[in-house]
Amino acid sequence: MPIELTDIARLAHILERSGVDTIEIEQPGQSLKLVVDTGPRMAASPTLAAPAPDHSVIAKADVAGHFLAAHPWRDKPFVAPGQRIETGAIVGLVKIGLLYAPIVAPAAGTVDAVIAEPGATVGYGTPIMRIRPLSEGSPIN
Amino acid sequence: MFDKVLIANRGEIALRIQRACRAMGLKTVVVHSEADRDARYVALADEALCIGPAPASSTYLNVAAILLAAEVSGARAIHPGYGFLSESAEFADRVARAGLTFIGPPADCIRTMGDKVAAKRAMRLAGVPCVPGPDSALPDDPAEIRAIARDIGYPVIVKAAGGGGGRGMRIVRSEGALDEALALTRAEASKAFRNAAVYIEKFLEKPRHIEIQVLCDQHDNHLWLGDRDCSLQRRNQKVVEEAPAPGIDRALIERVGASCVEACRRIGYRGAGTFEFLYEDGQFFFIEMNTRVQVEHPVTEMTTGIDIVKAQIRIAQGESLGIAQGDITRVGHAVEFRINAEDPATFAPSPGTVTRWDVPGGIGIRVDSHITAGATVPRHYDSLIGKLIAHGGTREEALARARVALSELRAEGIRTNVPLHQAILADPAFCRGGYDIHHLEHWMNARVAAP
Repeated sequence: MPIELTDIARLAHILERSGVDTIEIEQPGQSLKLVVDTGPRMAASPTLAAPAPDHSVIAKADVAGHFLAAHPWRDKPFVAPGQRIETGAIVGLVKIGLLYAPIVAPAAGTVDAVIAEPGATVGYGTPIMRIRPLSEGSPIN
Repeated sequence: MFDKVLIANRGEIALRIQRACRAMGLKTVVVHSEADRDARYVALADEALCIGPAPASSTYLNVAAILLAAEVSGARAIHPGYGFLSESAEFADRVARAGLTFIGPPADCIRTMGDKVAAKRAMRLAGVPCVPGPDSALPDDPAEIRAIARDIGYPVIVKAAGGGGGRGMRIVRSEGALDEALALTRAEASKAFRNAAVYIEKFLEKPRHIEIQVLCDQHDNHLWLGDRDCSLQRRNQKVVEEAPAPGIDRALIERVGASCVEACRRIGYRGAGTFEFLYEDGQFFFIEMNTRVQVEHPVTEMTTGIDIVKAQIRIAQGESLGIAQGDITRVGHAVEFRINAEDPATFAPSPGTVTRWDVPGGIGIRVDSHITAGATVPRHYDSLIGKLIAHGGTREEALARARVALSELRAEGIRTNVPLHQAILADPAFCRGGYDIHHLEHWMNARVAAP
């Protein structure tokens, strides 16, 4: 079966998400080697790379591990951009072997963007999520 | 057998371990604090994990965080370096219980040597010369203690069994001062080391600090790699170290080295270790054993050609050292100068950003440092930023090379103790060699007093 362009795009996407930088596929009559830039391999987090707007707050990992946006038993992420969350809401997990440590929202507000790539290795202080806090005096509901 | 090593330390020794691993084809994982995030050795590691904020208690002393980082990275072995958790039997135990390899001696050896009284007893049994005094904790009865002290002869020194490295000790020159010294040391010991047990020994007035490096594998190879003289100290902190110790009868050192090897055999020692001795009037007296790699290991490496950190890793992999005592030859003389980020006169730490870092080179010069231009020296840790090691055919040649190298070394943005080293190299007593452990402080006091 010939490898289609869309297959390559899909493979590249999977590699990127899983932090794998190379895959080689050999079939009779064809071979494919795919190398993607998985970005910095270090968990030394790109604190500087994410200049947050003045008033946004950042949910950060507080332990080294692999970032999960969704519970391992579920497909749906804990939160999605635009979603309203309360202080202390779980916005993701850090997986350390069999352990899962929650990443919690430091403030109530609206999810602006998920900064960390699911599956990526994160460390203490790695920015995970940008949250636009509730402006003062705005109604809770 | 492991192929990925987690380095549970920072600074120059983290880089030293990383270099050994990389040369052996092993992958490295560096765990670091936020304060060390931008260090060059962190970027050089195969993987780096930030495990906490700057304080050592949250990171380099945080057993749980280090073990979790090993789990996340898939590292199967942990090298503790020196300081921090390197001499924690509990840490060694927990690493083993996590199914990982601790690159160091068995936990029970660390525990025995951590208890200075138990260590002394083990050494006596192996025939290692010890400081006069009982190898047991003191009885409670003050009269009995007075009798022991009289038996040893004043001055005596009261030491905490859990102490070491110059901490938890008090000199007593007459019987009248004994009770108070005992009470104070006991109180300090129970607070600082959570072990109120104290012991007493003969106090030596003008000793030199001489130590013996050992390497032991699990195939019954127990080797000693020669001696080091670390007598140039300030407040029990070593400043300059050299190998071999000048002016000591080689046959005597051979005998002491052989007794250290015998002690290792008896206690089932494995890995690298150092037996520290005081040397006075032609006699050696054991004081403590360090169950880890030492800051000053390079002077032994330079004179023997043996890579001590590589040997530690090979031993932990279960391999044989592959050499016999007779294969060890010592060539020339090596001297190490500890480069600290501190004021050369007041010794106040000088953290900050290193704006310029020019490193010397040439024949016989080795610089072990994690510093690069633009690097930060955090205020949270020890001020050691590098070690300059000079090797030569003779002591004179090594010192001459050290003078040139120190003149080439340039650090800007922070203050360093390089000017102190240069002044030491101009001191005739230092150049003669064979000074005692009080020499540096006396010499500095005389310099301050001079107009």
